Amino acid sequence: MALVEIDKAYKHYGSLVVLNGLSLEIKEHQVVCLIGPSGCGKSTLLRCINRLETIQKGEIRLHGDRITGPGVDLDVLRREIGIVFQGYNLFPHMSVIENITLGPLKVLGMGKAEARDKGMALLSRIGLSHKAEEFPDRLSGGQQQRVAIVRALMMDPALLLLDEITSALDPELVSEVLDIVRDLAAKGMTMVLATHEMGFAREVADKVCFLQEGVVYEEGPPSRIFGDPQGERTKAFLKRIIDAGRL
Amino acid sequence: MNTTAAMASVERANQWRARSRVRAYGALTRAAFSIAAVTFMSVAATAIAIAQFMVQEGWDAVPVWIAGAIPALLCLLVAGRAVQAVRLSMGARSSDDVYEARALGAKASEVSWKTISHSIAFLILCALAWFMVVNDAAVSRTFFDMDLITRSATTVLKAFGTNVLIFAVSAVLILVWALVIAIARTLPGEAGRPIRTIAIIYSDLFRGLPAIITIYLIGFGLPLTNLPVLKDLSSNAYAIIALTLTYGAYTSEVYRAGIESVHPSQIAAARSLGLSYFRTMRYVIVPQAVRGIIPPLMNNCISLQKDTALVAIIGTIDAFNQSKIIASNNFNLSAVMTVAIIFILITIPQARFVDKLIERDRSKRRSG
Repeated sequence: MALVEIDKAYKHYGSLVVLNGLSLEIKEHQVVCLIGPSGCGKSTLLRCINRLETIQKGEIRLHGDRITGPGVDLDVLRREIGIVFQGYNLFPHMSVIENITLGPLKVLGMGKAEARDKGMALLSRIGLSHKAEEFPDRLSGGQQQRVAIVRALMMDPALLLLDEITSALDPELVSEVLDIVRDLAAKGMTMVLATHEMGFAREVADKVCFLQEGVVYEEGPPSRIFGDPQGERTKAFLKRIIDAGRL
Repeated sequence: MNTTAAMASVERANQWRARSRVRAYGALTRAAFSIAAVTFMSVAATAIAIAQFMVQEGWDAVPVWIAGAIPALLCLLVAGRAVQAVRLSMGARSSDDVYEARALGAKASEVSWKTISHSIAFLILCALAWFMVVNDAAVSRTFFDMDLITRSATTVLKAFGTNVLIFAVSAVLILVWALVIAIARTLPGEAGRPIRTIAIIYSDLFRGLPAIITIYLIGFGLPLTNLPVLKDLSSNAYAIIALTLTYGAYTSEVYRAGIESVHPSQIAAARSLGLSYFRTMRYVIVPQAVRGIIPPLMNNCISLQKDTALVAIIGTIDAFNQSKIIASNNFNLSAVMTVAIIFILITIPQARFVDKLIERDRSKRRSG
């Protein structure tokens, strides 16, 4: 059974249809990359999976259990699904260690010392243990985004959603963030990435989905999507990317 | 996938199912029901007590009892919703279909919270009602003598014209004066320093000085100075000067916050086109600053309207002073309540308007 099954999800804002009966399966330990033009619904899809947004029709299941519709305990759901945002969204009034231990302390009920140890362990894995007491605005964008990933990981999520996490970063800072994602992929973390980093998607993804007008227009292993795309629109999109020198 | 990994993932799924169990909200619905029941009883008891009292005072029995029955019936409705919540919750517990149970549970919780908040609102109103009628309705008689309120309304309303005049003139003066101060405070460089310093001293002084003291000093002090022109002004004019000085200091801070909230890159862009400092302010910075500060400006405006009542201290016959005269003639404060009501009636629409502006601003920022 797939970890997440998205079944004909439909969502619109007013007259603008964002998801138009989109279906997608995410298996455990799979890294799924969502690519496609701006406004094709990548971010919305991610936000619907952890219920920051609500779909209007269709169904999303986690561990085979429907998580759309009324009465789903969202706090429990979000313990299971972590998300990292494009703009980091760290809490500016808390130090790095406070940022990453807030969830474990308040939600998981972890002890203070244990949470701190776990946080420091994860921080040193990404080479930021010396920044534990700093406040987010003293950190570079790349460092902030790495802390944001750690904040999500502290909850031991079954699934990690990454929403264009390198789009706001200067080019030379992108790799330090992608290295962590690569490392997580190797450790078997299930992840869904909305990304514009085609080279990275090609390297790290088990499955690439090209989204177009609210549906998965074409999906497959990266070798096929990037090497031998079938759909006209996929070809056109990739040609634009290559012409822009981004692949 | 090897067996241990498969087992781990089954374990994980089971853990998830255990945590995301159906919530029936039994305790919450029962609490909502108890609160609703208590509310119904308190409101009914209050309505009966007040109605009996009013009938005793010679009011017509029928309308009084009908008026008393309305809140009691409304509370009964709330209690009915609470019963519905309890039943929904029981349905959620006994349903075999997980999804149906979740939907019922969610509905039960929503209905419970609604009943609880309605009940609390009714209890607060109930407490206020008691406050009005205890001690032989002393509170009602002192503050809400309807007869005196209606009798004094015309005179007080006429005097309120003075408040409107003071407000209207000083509002215009303040908007201009405060902008001047704000620009003086944000003057750049070494050359701007003396003027900046003066502006800072001014706004510190007049923000620190209570408005009532400023009005008192100007209203009684200037006539004593024998300065030409200044000694012969009307008390309205003194009030306008004093309020402009006080509110100018506050409002200049609002402007300044607006000016400083415009990103410095905008100055860079405007200066790069060759615009002078003042033209940059005039065409680029101030227009952007003003848009963001309309809600706080409106707040100051409301505050200014209310503070026009302070001019009563220098003997201006404004609505407050007029009503005090009526109140002392009648040994009853209800005339002052007339002014209170007038002030409230004119400020409430503005307060809502400010809320709307803030909301519009926020939704713009959300979508942007």
